[in-house]
Amino acid sequence: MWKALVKKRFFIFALIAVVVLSIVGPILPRYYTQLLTLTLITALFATSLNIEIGYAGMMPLGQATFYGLGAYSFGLLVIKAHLPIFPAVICGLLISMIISVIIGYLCIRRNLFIFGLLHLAFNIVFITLVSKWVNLTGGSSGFTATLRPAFLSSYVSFYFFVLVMVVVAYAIIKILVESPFGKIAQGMRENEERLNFLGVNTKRFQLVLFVASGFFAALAGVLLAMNNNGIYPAYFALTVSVQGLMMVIIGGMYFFIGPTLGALLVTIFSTEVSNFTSYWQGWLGVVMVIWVTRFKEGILFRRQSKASKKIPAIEMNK
Amino acid sequence: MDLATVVRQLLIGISSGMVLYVVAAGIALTLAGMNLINFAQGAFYILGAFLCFQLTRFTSFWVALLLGPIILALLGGLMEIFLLRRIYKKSFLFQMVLTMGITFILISVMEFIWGRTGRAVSIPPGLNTFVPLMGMDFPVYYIFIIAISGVFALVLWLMFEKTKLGMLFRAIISDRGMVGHLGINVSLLCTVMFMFSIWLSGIAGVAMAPIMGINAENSMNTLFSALIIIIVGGLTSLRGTFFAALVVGVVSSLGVMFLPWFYTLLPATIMVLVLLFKPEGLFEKRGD
Repeated sequence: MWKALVKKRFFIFALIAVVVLSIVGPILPRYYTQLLTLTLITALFATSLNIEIGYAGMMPLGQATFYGLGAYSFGLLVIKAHLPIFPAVICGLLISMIISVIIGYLCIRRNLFIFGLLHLAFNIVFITLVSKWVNLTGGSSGFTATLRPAFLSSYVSFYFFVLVMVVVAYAIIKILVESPFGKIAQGMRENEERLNFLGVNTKRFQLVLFVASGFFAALAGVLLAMNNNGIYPAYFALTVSVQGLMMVIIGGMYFFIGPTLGALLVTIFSTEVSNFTSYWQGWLGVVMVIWVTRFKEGILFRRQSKASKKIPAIEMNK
Repeated sequence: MDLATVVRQLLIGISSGMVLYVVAAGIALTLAGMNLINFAQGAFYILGAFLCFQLTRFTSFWVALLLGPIILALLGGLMEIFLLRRIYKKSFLFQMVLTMGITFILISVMEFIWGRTGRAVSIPPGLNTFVPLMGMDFPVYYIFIIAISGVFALVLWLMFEKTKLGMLFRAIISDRGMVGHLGINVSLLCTVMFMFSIWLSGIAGVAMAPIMGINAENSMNTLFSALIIIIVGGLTSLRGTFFAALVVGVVSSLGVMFLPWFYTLLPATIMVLVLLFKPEGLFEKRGD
């Protein structure tokens, strides 16, 4: 089980990354540490997406559902039910997981194309639900409240908290995708029909991957709610889903670390551009268009020719 | 709640359904013919409304109705040739990211040019009247909307079933490779098809401009509504899309009266129910 983590190259790389991040965090000025915190959170979100995209070839077009779900179920438990922070985190994650089992069960019943659309459909449902159910969710203005425990109130301690959570989550994801289970997921990406002939119940695997992906997205959502000290409907926005896909595509979907690099680039780009123009979304759009039409396979693409096996475009008119 | 109010809501529902049909038909067309899901359709619809606002400053509404969609179609043609061609036959992820990127750009450009506060266009003279309807005054413009959308629905159907171009479109939908082997320029045809779908959203945008608050932020809402309709209608069928648009329009406008706290969720609820129980589309025969 631990083999995946102690694979020499990956282990050294991860160790260096963690050491560098722990040294860099406290010395950087406050602004950059906070930016780094946000990057780590979005990186976890993008990596959760990649469980489905890169390893199983599924198309989660509306992943912001679980991002927002994690943030809201945690935030509302604190704000409305007055639970202490850490029980609320655990209950919030449990609630998101239960909802993601239900959504997942409903989504995977047909083919992968319908899966993508249903995923998007549930995102639209949640956007509407959150902005209209004002009594529970606070409507379009959301809630602002202290969502961090006292010992995390300083930005450095919160940075380390996020770092630890993200590293633990990455370790679990890495074990998951490198396990025999993950290999079956990759088989599903390449040829689902053949796996069915081999007697593998691919639907069950898709459901487990879906729930795992939803769980880590929800965890990222919880961290985001803590980071912003509030829950806002923007967490559910389709823009967030698209930015997630963007990070995966920019970084390269066949690499474990790809979405993280994508998240780094996209987060820094959006934050820096939004500092001097309010039209940052348009500039992000420009980058998205140029990237998708020019580079296509992600920055890590050239490193490994094995990855040239693309996700086949799903044919509509079979 | 009397009958007249119900009829009034019914007519408003039909008119909004018909307009959404014209927008959604564009998405359904490119999805069927080019395997391309165009998330930018909503932004083009709003852009059409803004063009109407801009053009009615110089000319009449009717000229805007003619010119606006054509300008949009040319823009769509450029977009197809320079951007979309590169990502055919790729995963839907790329299409989503590309067309959503175009949406972001269009929204920012519209906000930059026309501001974020929203604009309004006055109803053209002649249509700015009321007709008596069961003891109430009903605005003529809604009837105009129903009429013009109905005409375009009919034109779309006639073009598809009766003309050479429609035949080619249908041929591409059923077997794209074969059409290519017959010596027909498929990529040119795809460009035309895409321009046509954008032109449709332009028509809808210009026609709706006088009775909506024109705001770039609404692009996403329009996109949601159109996506819901094509999903309910079975994704690639124009007939299914038409009936789905009517159902969604009427249900949500009657929902305003009967379920005021829930009506904004009605279209999404219909969509989820359809996807769960009849994912091939509400009005399609069940295949295998």
